[in-house]
Amino acid sequence: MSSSEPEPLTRRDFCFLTSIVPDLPGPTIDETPTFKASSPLDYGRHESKKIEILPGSTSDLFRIIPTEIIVKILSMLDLQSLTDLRRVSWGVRAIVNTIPAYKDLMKYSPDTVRALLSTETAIYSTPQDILDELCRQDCFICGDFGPLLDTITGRRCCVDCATFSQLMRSIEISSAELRGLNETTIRKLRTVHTLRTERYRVQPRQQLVRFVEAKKVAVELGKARGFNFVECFTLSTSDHLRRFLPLLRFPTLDKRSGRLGWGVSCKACDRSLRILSHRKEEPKLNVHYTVSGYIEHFKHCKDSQLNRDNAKLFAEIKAATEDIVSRLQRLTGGLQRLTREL
Amino acid sequence: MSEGPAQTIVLQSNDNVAITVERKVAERSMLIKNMLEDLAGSELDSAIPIPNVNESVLKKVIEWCEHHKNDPQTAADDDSDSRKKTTDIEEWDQKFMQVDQEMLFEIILASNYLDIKPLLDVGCKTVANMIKGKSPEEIRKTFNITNDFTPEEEEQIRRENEWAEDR
Repeated sequence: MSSSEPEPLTRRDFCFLTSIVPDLPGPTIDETPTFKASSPLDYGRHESKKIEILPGSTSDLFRIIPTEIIVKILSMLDLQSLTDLRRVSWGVRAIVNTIPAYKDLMKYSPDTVRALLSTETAIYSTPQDILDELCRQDCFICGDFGPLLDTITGRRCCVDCATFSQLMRSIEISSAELRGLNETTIRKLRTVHTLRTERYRVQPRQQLVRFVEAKKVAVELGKARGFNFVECFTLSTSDHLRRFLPLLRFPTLDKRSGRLGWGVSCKACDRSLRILSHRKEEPKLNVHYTVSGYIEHFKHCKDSQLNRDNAKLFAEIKAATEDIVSRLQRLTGGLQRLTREL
Repeated sequence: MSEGPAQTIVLQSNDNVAITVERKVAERSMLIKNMLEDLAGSELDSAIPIPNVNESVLKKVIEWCEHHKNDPQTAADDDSDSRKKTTDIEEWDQKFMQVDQEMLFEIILASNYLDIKPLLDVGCKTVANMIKGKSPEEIRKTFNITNDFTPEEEEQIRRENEWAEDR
């Protein structure tokens, strides 16, 4: 439309201007040292051992109810229940394996299943819930592109909200207990059992609950007892570890092509933010984009445009210099030949 | 809408029992509703046979339809608020579903045949809740399923899907 719009990006420009490794302020689940080795997942591993058999002809459920209704029933179950169900019998296991959402999730993002099972958060989401999140791109808090999954809510979120949003702040169960919540009230809160990490210093596994949720319960309890719990919950400065341990690097799935994308961040913006060194209202920290999202961002990112133009200029100068050098070499070669002949 | 005398129709179960119901109640079943629409105009003096459902199940299903006859028709189909807990069941339905397994499965089959989606959903949720959070052994017991894993196989599958680090 406008004449000032920059030239479209080439694939090379894109790679030059973006980075795919996010620079996160804390370790996510997939960065913990034993993530993959400790939960190998059995999906597809034992199926060849036995021929598929009818699930328990002794069972009324499987004898009476047609398979499509069984699949409908099982699709209502959370990931943890399904995982346990697969231990019941070969036949039941075969049926669980055919649930479309479960199958897709295992195919496209087994790491997500691994993370939910290992942090004991698989009880909060059905495979369909997670698959839906995989196919969308927006952070559930701010709506921008989010490259992370929050295992507690089973929702996608962005780095900025993960780092700063009050909703994403977690506290240890013991600390909630200290603040007067008893065991039964805590058990009602969604809890994540984090993995051990070696970032900063070795952190043992912790049980975390969301601060906001704990506070809500505390306030209600406080009303009943005539005591104000709210004041007890004050911000502590060392909570970004706890903010990131319930999270996971989470790709986006394009269902039509079956391709996974991880999102990119803008090198130019990242660099200028590091120089700023402390957070201002704008711009956001460590923003991630989908490919199309970045292309849109590029149209407004003066730094990136400058970088691209500079890189282009640099490449042109380099090519021109090389051209001159090679011409000079040819010229000297010719001169030498000429001198010899003379 | 003007409420005339409630129109009734007669349903006949597969064990030949005739049950008279209000038309509005019977129309919770999309099968019956469509059938009645197809028959519109012609006289309805004979009973509608329901070949797959016996008297006790049919009565139970009608009881549900009776209670839910004023529910909005398509609202249950709307998946926009899919994030609310999928296995939550309203209190009346919970009580309604406190029956033995055989009856529960029969209700599911009948609602599937009669095309009463909300009742099918409640039935499926009830079964899902019977599975949720149970150990494999409890599930085998609940549904009478034979364990055809060897103990080693079962243990291996358990181990591969759990977190092994701290053990």
